Amino acid sequence: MAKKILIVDDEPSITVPLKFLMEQNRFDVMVVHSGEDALTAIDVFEPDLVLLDVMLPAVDGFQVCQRLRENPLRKNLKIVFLSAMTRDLDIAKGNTLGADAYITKPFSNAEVVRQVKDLLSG
Amino acid sequence: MKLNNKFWLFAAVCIAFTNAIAVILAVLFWRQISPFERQMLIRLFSEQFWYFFATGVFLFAAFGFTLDWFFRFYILPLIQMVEETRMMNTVNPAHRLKIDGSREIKELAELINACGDQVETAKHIIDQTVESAKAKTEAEKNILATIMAELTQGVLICDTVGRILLYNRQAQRVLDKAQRPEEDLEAEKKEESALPEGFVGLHRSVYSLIDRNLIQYALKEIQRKLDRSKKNVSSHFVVITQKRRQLLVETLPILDEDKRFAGFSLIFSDITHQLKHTGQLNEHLKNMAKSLRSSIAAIRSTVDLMIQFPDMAAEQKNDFLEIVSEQAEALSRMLRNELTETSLYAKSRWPLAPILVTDFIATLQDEALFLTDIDLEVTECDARCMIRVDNYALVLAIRFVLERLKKEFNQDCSRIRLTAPGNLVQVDLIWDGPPLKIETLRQWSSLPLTAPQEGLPLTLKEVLEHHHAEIWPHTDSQEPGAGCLRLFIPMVQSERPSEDVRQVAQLLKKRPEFYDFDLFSRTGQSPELEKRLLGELTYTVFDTETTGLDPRGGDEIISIGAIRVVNGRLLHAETIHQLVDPCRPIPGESIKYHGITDRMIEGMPTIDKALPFLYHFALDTVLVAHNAAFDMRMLEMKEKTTGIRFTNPVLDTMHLSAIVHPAHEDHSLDTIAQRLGVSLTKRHDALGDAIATGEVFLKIIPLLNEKGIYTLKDALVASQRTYYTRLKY
Repeated sequence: MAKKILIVDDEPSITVPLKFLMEQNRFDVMVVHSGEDALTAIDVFEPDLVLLDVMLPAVDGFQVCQRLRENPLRKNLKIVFLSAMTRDLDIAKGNTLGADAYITKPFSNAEVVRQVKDLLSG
Repeated sequence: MKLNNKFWLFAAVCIAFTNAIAVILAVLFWRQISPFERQMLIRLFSEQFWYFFATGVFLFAAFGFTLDWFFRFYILPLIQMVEETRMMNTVNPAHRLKIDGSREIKELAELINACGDQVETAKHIIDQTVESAKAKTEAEKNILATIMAELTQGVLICDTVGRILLYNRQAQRVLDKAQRPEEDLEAEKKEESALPEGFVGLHRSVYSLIDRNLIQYALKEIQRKLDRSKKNVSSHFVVITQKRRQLLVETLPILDEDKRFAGFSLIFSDITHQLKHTGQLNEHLKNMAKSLRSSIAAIRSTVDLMIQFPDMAAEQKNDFLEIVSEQAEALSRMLRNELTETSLYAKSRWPLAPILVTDFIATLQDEALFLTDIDLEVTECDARCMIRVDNYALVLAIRFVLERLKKEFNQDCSRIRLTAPGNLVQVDLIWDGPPLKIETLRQWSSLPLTAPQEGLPLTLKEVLEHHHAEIWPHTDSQEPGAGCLRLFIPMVQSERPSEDVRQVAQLLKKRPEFYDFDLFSRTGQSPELEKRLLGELTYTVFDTETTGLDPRGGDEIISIGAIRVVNGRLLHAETIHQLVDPCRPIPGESIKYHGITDRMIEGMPTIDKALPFLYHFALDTVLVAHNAAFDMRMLEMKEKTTGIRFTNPVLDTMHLSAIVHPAHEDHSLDTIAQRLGVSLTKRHDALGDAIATGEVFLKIIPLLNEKGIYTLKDALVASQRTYYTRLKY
């Protein structure tokens, strides 16, 4: 059965190629464009991994991550930040909240696929 | 003692003395004569009583007239001569005796006047010599004063207790909370500005202008640096003025010849505009970098996919091409519109000093006393790693977070963990309790760290942004039950020592030639004000003009004038001259005296606005006024409505004049001024009268000293004894 990936980003220019990339790598993909939608979609879609942008309207990626990590049912959910915020401090913030990986934009497709596969196979 | 009293005392003593001698002679005579002779005398006295009585009355009247003549032509002129000669000899050498009296007394007065002429001529020659010698020194002082005035930075020099000894105009401009009430009214209309609280002025406390904690912290830091023999001992902090100006303050110690603190100097630069500009620029650059990264990410990912999957569906390919086209256009727009060379100026002037991270933690424990019981754990951290911080602000920020944690969640920080795994120093504040939500932390970020009247009314977010730092909830998998806040501070790899190091100012045994003010020899501000010498005290000489002379009957203040006296000098740059709206018409008969009309006081502040202004101006000084009982009564009548109560000691030049010139009846301001050689230029103008009173007061101080009145207490006690203290309004 194909692993499920939820892509959370408010910019279609990012989500469209990412969705295509993940589908080509035989993942089951769902795309949402806000933090609130992501929290709802996770309960319905039950993804194995979330590709999460930080800068989202209303509830941002950090808040989504904190809420997921507070929920014992989502203990095994892998969270990968995909963000244009690239300072050491931003990465440290993401890791502090319990993210499994922090990928900075611009990223290479191969790198994203490798990180996703590594996390899902571990 | 009044003259009449002196005369009657003199007469009583003379009569008592004469009568005593007459009685003794009569008793001796009575004892020596025989009983027969006594009988003869009694019979003779009884038969011729009226002749004897008339003779007695005549002799008594003659004796009285003789006494009066003797008092008026010899005794009284001598008393006046003593007072006036003393005045000639001290404050008014131009004064000459004009004495009515006997020929001998007049000759003596002429002789004294001739001596006065000679002394004045000699003094004139000496004064000329001294003046020419002083001119050179004055020129040097003027050079210093000009340099100080022209400095773009504000400068304050203070003694050890924070009294201002020297300031320049720029410091006054940026620091003076004391806007004149007229300006205040204008400002109030715009933004409900607060009443002035502090003034820049000689011998005023710097702590009325700048939060004491900020300066004390800087001085402590300087002391630490001096103890470690560091070269650059200056300390910086930022102060936010009431008008929200952000001032960068550099503190420098001034050491005496034994390297002990003799005072400190504060150098101010207004960095408001620069900080705002830098903040906007940084925000702009941050947003631009994010947009750039997003666009490049989209293009890179899309192009890679088109290369990797050349056989993708045509519709998919078109979607991808559209993304590339849109993002390329967005990038071009950004380059064209937003990328400017201004990014080169993005370096902030917020004073961040390099410090060892372990030193920072030690300061944190030292300053935040309530943290002393907390365990400090240092792991994965090189003790030599450095951070750049504004110690005071960052310690305040941490205290703020811990206090909120206690207040809102009743959680006490139990452990501080210090780690530095990469390029960031991480300070973990750990407690036994649930973790903190990001939302809560963001709410706290927008709150000011201190109360508005304290030194740093910045928000947590502002302080952290200046440090390029962040505070963030940390989820520790090893300690699931514990809450943790992690403070990230960027690490400094290596800090090249600045070439622009301020040298420590140390006073030389011999004063520098360009600087001749005797600033540091003053004694400290003693709480026992009354024991201090009159010449050492700081005074506020003031006067009020009123609608009439009956404070209890509803007369109101319409003008306040005041001037400060420091070190025996009238400070003409530190004055108040304020018209006041009495909220009632000004009677025509009073306008004749002061010339203030209803039209002139239109739009002027009312007494409840003007009185706090005088109160702050006169803070920590002795009040001086002419006929102070009246002015003080006017002020007291406003205590209830304004809530302002003047508790300063008060001296009255009318009383003081009566003390030094008891032989003179008239102690009005005009007469005293004329007697002491003070010219009155603006009579019945509040400031004009205050200045004249000030000049009179300064002339009276040496005369008081000659009478053995040296301290404030001496002057107050002597004042109470004078006749004029019985005057009540």
